Amino acid sequence: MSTKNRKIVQDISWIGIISALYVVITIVFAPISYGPIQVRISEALTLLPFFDPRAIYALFLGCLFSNIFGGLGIYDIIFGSLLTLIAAFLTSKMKNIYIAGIPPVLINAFGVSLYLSLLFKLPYLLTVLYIAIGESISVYAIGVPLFLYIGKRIYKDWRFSK
Amino acid sequence: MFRLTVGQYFPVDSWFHRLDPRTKILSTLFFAVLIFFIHSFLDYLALFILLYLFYIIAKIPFTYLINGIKPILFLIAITFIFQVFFYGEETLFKIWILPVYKEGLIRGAYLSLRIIFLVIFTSFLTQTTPPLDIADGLEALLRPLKRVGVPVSEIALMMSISLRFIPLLQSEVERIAKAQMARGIELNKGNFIKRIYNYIPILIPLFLSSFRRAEELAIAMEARCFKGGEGRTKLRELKFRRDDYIFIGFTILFFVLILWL
Repeated sequence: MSTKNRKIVQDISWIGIISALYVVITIVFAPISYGPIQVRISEALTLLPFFDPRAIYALFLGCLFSNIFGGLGIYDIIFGSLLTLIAAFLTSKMKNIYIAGIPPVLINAFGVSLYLSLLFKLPYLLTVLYIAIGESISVYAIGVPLFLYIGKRIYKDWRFSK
Repeated sequence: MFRLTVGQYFPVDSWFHRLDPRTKILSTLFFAVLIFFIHSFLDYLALFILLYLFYIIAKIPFTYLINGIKPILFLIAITFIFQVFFYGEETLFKIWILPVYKEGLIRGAYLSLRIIFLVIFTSFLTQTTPPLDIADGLEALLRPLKRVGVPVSEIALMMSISLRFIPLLQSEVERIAKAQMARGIELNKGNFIKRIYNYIPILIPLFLSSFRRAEELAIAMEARCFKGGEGRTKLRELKFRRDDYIFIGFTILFFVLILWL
């Protein structure tokens, strides 16, 4: 068994399961997960690409499935997931955990508001504000403390800045 | 408390259930675009009648679609209120209060219907198609991207793993929640922020067990000599049948009709 193959197998199973984790956390907290005022607790996971770039794909898939199973229909499925993908990629490039949360907060706030306001004529800036608040809560009030707490248990060489 | 179903699949045998998932995904896209071109309530009525027929043919009780709308009631309410409020303010200076109110009301109703129809068309897809079939359909639709280097077969496998593990992790959440409640945490106590923090003792074990499961699964796959997605065969091959062409044709016809009228 080559080491390259081992790496592929590990990546596939890791991405599959972490995306399932995202979906499950979204559904368990469903009542507050969808809609313009959303505190998706699962968005705490958006910090994960900072530690592990594979999480970019896991978040994309997780977001895709959560939006298929609930949410606002096809536009949310397509654009919501793509925005998550972009944000996750940027997060993976950040220098420390505190600024790693900025891309998901900003991209979701400005991006999701864009299509929400185009589709449903909601006031853009107000939607930006609502989403930014919800995202900041899940990323900074839950995500950061959570990762500070469990980080070292998952990876030995876990660091909070690069 | 955590008895939540994933997806809304309604397991009966019907004409719609037998359609190829690709057909259903594509026509859902068609209808989603169509909703943008609707500019009268009469078109919405036509769409409603069409959906009603769809539900009859699919043998799904019409009341079932309310399940899809429930989580977004709040958004609908907000959209409606904003229209009535904002759209009114724009013309408030020219005319007195009654016509202003009416305009916003119509626009509000109009946009609320747009949200409702968007959600219903998507949930019609998930009600008539099991999650794994949706994943198969997505994979098939993504296959052309293989040429530009997208690892489509690996993605397909990730999607199946993800869908397979959602119910497993869900029951894990349930177990962890019960275990933590036995240790004395109270989940539904306190204000909003407190409530969110109540879930931290559930999230931590859930994270750790997911990471562990991922490792175990990788070992299990390796032990069974799994090597990449290349050259894997399928138990069920997707195949377009006559009915698929009929439905796609019908969707396009309906699209053109609505655009014309």
